[in-house]
Amino acid sequence: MKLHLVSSLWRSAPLWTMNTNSSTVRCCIEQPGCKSRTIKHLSDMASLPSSLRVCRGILKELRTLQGPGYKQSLAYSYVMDQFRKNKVTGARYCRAQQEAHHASHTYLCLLESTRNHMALHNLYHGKGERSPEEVASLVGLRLPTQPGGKGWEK
Amino acid sequence: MFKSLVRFYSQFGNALSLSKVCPRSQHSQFALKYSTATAAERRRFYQDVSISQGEGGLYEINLDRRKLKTPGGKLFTVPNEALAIAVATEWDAQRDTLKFYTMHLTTLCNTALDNPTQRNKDQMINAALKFLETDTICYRVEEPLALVELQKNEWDPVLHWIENRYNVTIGSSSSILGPDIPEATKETFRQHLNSYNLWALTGLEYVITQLKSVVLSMGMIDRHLSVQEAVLLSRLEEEYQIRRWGNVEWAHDYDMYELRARTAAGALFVHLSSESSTVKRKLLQD
Repeated sequence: MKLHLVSSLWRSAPLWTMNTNSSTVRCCIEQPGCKSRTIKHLSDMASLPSSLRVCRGILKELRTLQGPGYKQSLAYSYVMDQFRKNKVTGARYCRAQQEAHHASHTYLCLLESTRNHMALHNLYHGKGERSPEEVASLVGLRLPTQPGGKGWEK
Repeated sequence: MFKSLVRFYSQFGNALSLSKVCPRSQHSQFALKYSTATAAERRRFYQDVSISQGEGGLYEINLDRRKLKTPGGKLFTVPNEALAIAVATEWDAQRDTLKFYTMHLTTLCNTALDNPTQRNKDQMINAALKFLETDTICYRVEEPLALVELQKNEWDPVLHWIENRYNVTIGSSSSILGPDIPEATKETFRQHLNSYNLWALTGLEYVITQLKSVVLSMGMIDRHLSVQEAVLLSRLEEEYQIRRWGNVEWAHDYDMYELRARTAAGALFVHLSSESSTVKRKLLQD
């Protein structure tokens, strides 16, 4: 049995993660003389979906949260503003953009997970104690309806 | 204005009157407020949520015309616009009742503002580093063989990555005592954590306690791992058991989404609260 859950995600540590604490430069830096390397780094980001997908994902979550008027909300304008500001050509090395991409992906994950968690919570939890019938049917069983026998078997 | 204040504080009325009846210390009164905030669900008492910039450039949250306060009674202020908007979105997302357990960013801000456990930075760093000694990805199993292989394939690359990134030795072990982590490693991480401010540290400690791993948390904060990857690696053994025995939606998925939401909130909180210097630099360049 070959076990690889996320095996395609691991490659050697990309350069852009090496120095994140001193990342105050906002402009984009060309990687000196290694175009192929830059492309490899960008392919490292393949584990994250593209920023367009993340953007659309966040907007979809905002619409679910706030209804049809979501375009008037603070969050909508902020998210659109950020995505427009950080739109940089793909062949360049830009730490600020990577940071923004990671942050936006994290925010999408927060919104999605909270929604899914609430959906499961409303479905299975938070309704107080279940009746014995419900508990039994959860695991695929039925309770007997008469003493001494099940009452519903033929 | 006074009327609205009274209405806003009515939620604490219970807690306050209780504390008048039975003489308690300041600390227990504090704890009581925190417990009532989570135990009872309140109805949504506001229509609009907006943000405004107050004194010292700090952002505040307004629910209709009222200013949001922390459970400890302080004015709710956050250092930057992004965090303020994210918090406002959480309040705006509440439907009929306020579900505080889904408002992770608000909770983290409250914790950072009130500091309910009254700890200083050193104590927080020590608490976070305690998890290094019992780090999830340092403890390996000896059987079954498939899980041994899985842990090796998935955890070793992260371990090697962090050892190279911080130039430290951590290692893994299958004994119950865990690996012997050298003092130099702890010192390196202590210094690194010391470079974060109190807010970021609050978020970081939250992430570490969620993932039960310093290595995975640092990997995620340093943007080597996405939230989903970090959560998956933190729950590796559980994922293995799910593959073997099947998935139970109301337990496994429920836990996973909750863990993801909490971890994502913590990571975002760390990034947003250590960001302010970046923004200033950009304004200077423009």
